[in-house]
Amino acid sequence: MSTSAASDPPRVLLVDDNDEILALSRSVLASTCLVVGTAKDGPSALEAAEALRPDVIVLDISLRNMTGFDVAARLRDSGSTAAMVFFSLYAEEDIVARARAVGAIGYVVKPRLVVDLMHAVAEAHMGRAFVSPL
Amino acid sequence: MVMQGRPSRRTSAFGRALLTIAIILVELALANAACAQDSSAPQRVLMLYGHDPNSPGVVAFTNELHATVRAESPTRVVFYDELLDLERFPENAEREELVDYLLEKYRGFSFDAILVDGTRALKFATERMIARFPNVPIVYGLTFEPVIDFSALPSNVTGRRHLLPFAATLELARALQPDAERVVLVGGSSPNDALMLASAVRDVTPLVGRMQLVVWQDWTHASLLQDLRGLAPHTITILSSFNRDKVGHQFSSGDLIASVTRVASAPIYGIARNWVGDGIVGGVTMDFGDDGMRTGRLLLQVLDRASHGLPLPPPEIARPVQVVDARALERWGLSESKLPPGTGVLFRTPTPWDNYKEYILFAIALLLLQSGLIAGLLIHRARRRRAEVELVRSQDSLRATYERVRDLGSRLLKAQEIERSRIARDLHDDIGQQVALLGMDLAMVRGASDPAEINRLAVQAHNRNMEIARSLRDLSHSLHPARLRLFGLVSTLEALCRELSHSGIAIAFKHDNVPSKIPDDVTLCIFRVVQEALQNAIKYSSATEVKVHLAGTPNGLNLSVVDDGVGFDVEATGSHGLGLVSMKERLEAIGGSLEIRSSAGCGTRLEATVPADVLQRGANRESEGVSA
Repeated sequence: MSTSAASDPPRVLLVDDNDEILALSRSVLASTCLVVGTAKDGPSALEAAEALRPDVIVLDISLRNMTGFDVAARLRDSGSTAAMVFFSLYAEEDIVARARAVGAIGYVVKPRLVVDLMHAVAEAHMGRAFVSPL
Repeated sequence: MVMQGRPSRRTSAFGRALLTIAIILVELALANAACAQDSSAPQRVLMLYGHDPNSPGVVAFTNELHATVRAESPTRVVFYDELLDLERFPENAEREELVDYLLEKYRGFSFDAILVDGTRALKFATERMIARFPNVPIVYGLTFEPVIDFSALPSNVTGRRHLLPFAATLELARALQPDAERVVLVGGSSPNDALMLASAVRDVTPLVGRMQLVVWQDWTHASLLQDLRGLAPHTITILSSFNRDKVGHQFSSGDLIASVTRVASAPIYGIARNWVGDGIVGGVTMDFGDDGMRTGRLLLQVLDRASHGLPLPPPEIARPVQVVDARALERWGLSESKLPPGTGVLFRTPTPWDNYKEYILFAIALLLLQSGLIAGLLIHRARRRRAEVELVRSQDSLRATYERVRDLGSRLLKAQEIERSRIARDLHDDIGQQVALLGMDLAMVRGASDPAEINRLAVQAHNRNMEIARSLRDLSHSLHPARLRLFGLVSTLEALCRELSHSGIAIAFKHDNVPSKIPDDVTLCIFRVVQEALQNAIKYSSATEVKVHLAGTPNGLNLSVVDDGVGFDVEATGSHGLGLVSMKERLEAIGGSLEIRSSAGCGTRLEATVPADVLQRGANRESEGVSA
């Protein structure tokens, strides 16, 4: 498993406990990304990240057993190099700052998911930051 | 029939003869055995009484002597008593005819020993009898009269003698009567009395010192009693022997003691052990009973040694007995504590303790047992009363708790209704309105045909949707702080303080050493307490400044919320304020505690503590309901 070249469509892992958000995100990203997997909670997200080695992980903050921040910290600890994009209902700056502190490069507020997610993933794949307007 | 009867009678007569012979033989055998037991030759002792054998001292001597000899002699000893009566007939001591009489009386009869009573009898025996009764050892006892030189006695004479204890008796009397001014010596008129009295005077004179020494000898029985009635105080009276008064009346000293002491007006002392008990205070005394016993033993030794041709045991000197009568001490008010050590005290009046020791002990034991039982019952009753009081108190407390819980329950229901109506109002008035407007926007999109108009309407709908999302988030946040889980306690409290600071009140938050891992229930509890405290401060205190301090210590977690507001009466409000009660309940539910100090005009200080062990347990436990 090797990290794909920047020109290839980014391989994306989607993590959210809501099936509809997962389906919507998958359809939003379908044209530009390769969604390699989805997970609905922290432990399965960590397993999938280990197994699939995605380029970008799109991660909800509010998960059932662990917070998205916890998952991000564990991924970093395990040596994952995937770019991380959080998407959340929270639109506060301190939460964005916290997301960036645990290694996220992108932050999308969920009401702007359709508008911002594709862009945020593309930017993340290129190593550039993106934050939805709050 | 007749023929048959004859041989039968013959047989019977023969049998009777045999039986008679057998009985005779048995009786002979028994008689022989008895003779053998008597050792066939009893030892014979000629007893010569110099004193009156009926006087108390001699009776005591003789009784002990006979008892000892009877008990301790291996052979039978037979005494042959002869009364010399030398007190009344002193000239008998010089009469050779008396010896002739004895020889004549006991012709063909041999004695194994001669026992003499008194010094005069000893003198008679040694001077008159030794030659006439050759080889018969002489033993003397009850000798105290100073009429013979004991160092010059022949070798076949031994015995026991007393030293006259006048001096020692005076010393004892002086110990008891240190303030005595006079010593009276009383003696009789017989030659022996005179000799004794002379000894007494000789012995006590060196000890009299400044005291006056008076000798009474020329008295009749009546005058003696009269004189004794008039004895001056501080007088020591010592009785010597008195066998005869000046008009020739004969006495036995021992018989006179009781009458003499009864009338005396001062303490009287004496020198014979057998006088003690008849009214004298006591003295250093000659114990004639003891003398009888020891003389008896000496006699047995003499009989034994003489029969083996051995030399006689050496003479002995009797030891005087220092003894007093407790009744006489009491009569004269003499202190027992002044007695020289080793003084025997006789006739001590038995105390109730001596008499009824067992009964008293039993009664005390019974009393103790009864007291123990009573004490036990009292303790039991006290315990029962305490338990009853405790029961009443706990019932009161239970009732109060029940009232409080019921009150709390009703107020909680009310608070719940208020909160529900607030949520419903928010949902209806705010979110509901916006959802309705969003619906209208979408309907307008569907009806529009101009792309620019459609785009404008879509942007408008999207913005409205963003508003709805924000409203929902705010509502959710107000219901439960999801940030707690995302950011932890410190960060959430910081945000809370910042958020509430907008209400025209400066809220400062400070934290030290707060552990990174805190159980979710503790996190929520502390958050709620701070939230409640701050809301109270904002609503009621009119404070301008509130300081929130959260600190981790080795003992656990300490929270303080201090405001500079108007304060309140904690006692009065404590159980009624739902907020205060809920804070307390929350803390106690997780094992913590809450203390609120406040008084009118002095601000409020709230301190909450969560023990370290509460922080340790289940630090990672998932808290239900803490989610975004």
